[in-house]
Amino acid sequence: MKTSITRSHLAGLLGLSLLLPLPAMADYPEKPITLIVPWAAGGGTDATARTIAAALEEELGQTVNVVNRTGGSGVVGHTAMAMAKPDGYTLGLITGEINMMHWQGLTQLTYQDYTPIAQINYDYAGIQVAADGPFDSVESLVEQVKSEPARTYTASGTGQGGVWHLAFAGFLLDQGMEADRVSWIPSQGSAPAMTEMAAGSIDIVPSSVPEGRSMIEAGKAKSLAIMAPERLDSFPDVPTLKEAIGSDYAIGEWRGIAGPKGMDPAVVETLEKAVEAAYNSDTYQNFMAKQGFGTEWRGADDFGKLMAEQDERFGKIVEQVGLAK
Amino acid sequence: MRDFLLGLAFMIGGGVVIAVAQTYPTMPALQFGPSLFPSLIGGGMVIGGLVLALTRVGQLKNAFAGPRSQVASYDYRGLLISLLPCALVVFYILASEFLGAALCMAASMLVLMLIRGARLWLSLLVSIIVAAAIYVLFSRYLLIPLPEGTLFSQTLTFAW
Amino acid sequence: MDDFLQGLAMVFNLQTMLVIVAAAVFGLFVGAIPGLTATMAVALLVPITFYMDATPAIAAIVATSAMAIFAGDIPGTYLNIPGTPASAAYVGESYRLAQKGRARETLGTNLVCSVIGGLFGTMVLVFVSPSLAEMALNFSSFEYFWLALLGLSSSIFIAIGSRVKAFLSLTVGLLLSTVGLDMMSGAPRFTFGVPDLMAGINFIPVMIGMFALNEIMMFYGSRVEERHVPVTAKDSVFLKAPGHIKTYWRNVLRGSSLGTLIGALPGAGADIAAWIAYALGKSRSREKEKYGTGHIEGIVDASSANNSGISGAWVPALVFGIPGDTITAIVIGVLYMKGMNPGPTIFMNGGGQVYALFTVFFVANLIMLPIGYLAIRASKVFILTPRKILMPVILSFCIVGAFAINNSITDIWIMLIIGLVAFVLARNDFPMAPAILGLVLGSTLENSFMSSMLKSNGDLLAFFERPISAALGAMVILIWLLPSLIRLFRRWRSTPQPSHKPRSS
Repeated sequence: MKTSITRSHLAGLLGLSLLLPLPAMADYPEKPITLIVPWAAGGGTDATARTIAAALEEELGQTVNVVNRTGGSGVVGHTAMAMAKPDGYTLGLITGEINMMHWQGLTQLTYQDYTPIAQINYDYAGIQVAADGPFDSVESLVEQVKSEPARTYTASGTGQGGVWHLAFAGFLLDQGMEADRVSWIPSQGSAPAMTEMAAGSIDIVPSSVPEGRSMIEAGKAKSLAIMAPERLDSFPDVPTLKEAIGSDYAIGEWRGIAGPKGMDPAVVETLEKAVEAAYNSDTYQNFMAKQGFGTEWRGADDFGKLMAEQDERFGKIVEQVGLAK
Repeated sequence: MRDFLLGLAFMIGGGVVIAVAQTYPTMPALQFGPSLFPSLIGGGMVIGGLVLALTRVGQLKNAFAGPRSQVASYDYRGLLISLLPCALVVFYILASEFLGAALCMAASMLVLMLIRGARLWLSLLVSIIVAAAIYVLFSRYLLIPLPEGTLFSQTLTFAW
Repeated sequence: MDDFLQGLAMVFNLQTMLVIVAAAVFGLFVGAIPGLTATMAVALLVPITFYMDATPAIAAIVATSAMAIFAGDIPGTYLNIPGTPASAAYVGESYRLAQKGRARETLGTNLVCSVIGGLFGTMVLVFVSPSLAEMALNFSSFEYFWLALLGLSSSIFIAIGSRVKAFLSLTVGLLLSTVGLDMMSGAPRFTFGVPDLMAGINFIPVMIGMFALNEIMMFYGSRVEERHVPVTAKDSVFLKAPGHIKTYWRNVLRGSSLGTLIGALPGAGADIAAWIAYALGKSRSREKEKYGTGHIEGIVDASSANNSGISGAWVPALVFGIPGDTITAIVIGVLYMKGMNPGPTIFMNGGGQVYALFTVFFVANLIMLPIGYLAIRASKVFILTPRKILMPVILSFCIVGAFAINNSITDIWIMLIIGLVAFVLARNDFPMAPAILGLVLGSTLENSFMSSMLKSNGDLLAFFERPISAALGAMVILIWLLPSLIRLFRRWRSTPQPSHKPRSS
């Protein structure tokens, strides 16, 4: 008897302290929103997410908590996003990996398990080499890779089957070579790969150009070309592949905001508008410009189409590289 | 004696690790792959376990000659109570979604304090204050989404 | 000179000083709670730094991280529960000292060494950054492989008691490090279909399980309500510290320089620095036999090393924009945002901003002394609170701490299972520390080996082809062979007495 009283008191007391901060019924959003990031704190995706979250907070008038769910080449975070309740209070920063992982048998999840809200960034792949390395142009790189025996050269920048691996393998295929003519050395990201390249133990880092920026500015690395239709504003000296060797090949990594499948269209609309305002805010635009990251806007519908289109494209590359399961 | 058994356990564990590792794929251009390190570690466990077990075989024989303090009497009740914190962790894992992190922590702390004979009012006071403080510190200031408990948020919306 | 004064003015104003004090207190709490790491604390600061100028923003990060690394030793000393993995190397040593009633003396010495280490690292950062960073950039996967092996070997050689048990404990940690998606092949290993396990096992829940949960279980199993850590009136924070520093000044210097060096390597941080410093300290000590029984010398080496490692990590971050550890990975983003683009030019074109940055390092490290002192005084609460009240509170912190690292229930399960395994092992005199090191270094060891093999197309000799790699490799092999060589040498001399007898007592 005594314990039951104390227990109900306890529940009452604690219950009260938990209940008070919740507001009465109101329009969405009425409580803090969680934004799941599938990559580690400190990386490019994380920084993008934190900036957009800060801008979004001002738009929505609610706290937006950035939560890193890292590891497993993005599987863990993307899973957490898809498994959340589709109530609009758990969103995620979805990245291009969602179009690669399921082809490799790492997860059952595809882009169809999400409600697209908006695309906020696109970074094209570049070709970075050591400043004192054997290549001085894309042309000489292609020639040497073709003439030397397979697996003479090494490249790195993501894990096995990651975006820069597939981008580079696609480039080799585009140039009429086997996808594994250059050995891919898996790494935890582009920063450790740039370090390895500076230490002289790998030859090529096909990451986005901004990721190699500090090493380029330090004179340790140089960017030969970007796999994009146009030059980047932040790196006007780096030619496109078209200009360098006449190839139309363009590929990169996109990032966007998405929620779990089955969200209320009204909530999606609210969010789409808020994200658009956040995207156009000075906070976001200034940050992206300073970092050198590319900005690209697509609303919910277009973003959905982009994911479908990219999914098919990466499916083909994964198969040609021989990683398909 | 227990060392001997632990040595055996490591040997078996190592064997299982090696067996599981053989199912992993190999890398391109190399004869080994993700199975190499687990196999080496498993091998290390087998060898280490074997050494541990063998050195204790000698002591097993000696144990009959001279009495050893460790084996003398074993406190089974104490062992059972020492599992209580683990049981409460399981309780938290299962119940926190529904009851909320703060309530689960308070209840667990109360049980643990009472079982060691702390005064009731003191235990109640400390567990409630600490649970509330941890909850506020973590969820408000460190932005960690501790479960708030569906029980309360539901009753709340109905009450309003 | 104008730049210098301008830099000083940026630091010595009310706002920046307040930020430094607040950040140090914040770091203190985060570091002292097992489960909350310095990296996490810095990540939490990032949104706040949006609204600050560059100098206070950087000051906040430096003060938080330096304080957190020291604060990790407080629960380690009083409760045998390290707050950060960098403290795990010598937690046994400091806990045994506390049991002798020397908790404050230990923490005071530790604090002074941390400050000296931090200042040493700062001096290196200020004066030789460019050349040190240049050297650190020569480290590739070949060198990291040997470095990881060196760290792992040290955990066996510093182990107290049975080496077989230390080795088995190490294999447990190594095995845990293989869980998850293999970075090299992308193949999932030991994940049992649990998506959360694809990310691998984080060392924080493991550390909480091994040290904290294990300790709580021991307490409830023992039925003894006595204080493990006695209170003595004589125990003072700073009284004996100068004496210890004077006696062991070589250790301070060695620990600090080793810590800075390892911290500056992009693939190794403060935790590895602490281990290697502790092991090196023991092997060079005149009183080896006192190690593991509560010997202050071991603390001197390692606690100078982990704090100097924190400063050292800024070297490659500032010079090349390459993070020296997880904290500086976040810092680089903040630097860009504040318009201080990292690069060799930062030292030439940075102007007042750079002097301000250096000054911040000195101030943030010095401020640890008063705040750390107050923290040590306040941590008496660990002793005065009856353990029947304290232990349940710690259990609550364990649960939320394990959850906090990834916001995942899976990590609480990991903590629980590891706690149970550790309970069995610890009761049978297995040391826990090698398992933590195995987990921390396991993936570095494997990934660096695998990527080196891929680069060289399977040629093992490649590990000796690069000069630094060859030197490190020779060192590791020497360490492994040394005990047998010494034994051979002794047998050859056939001296009847062991050559090292305890000198004192």
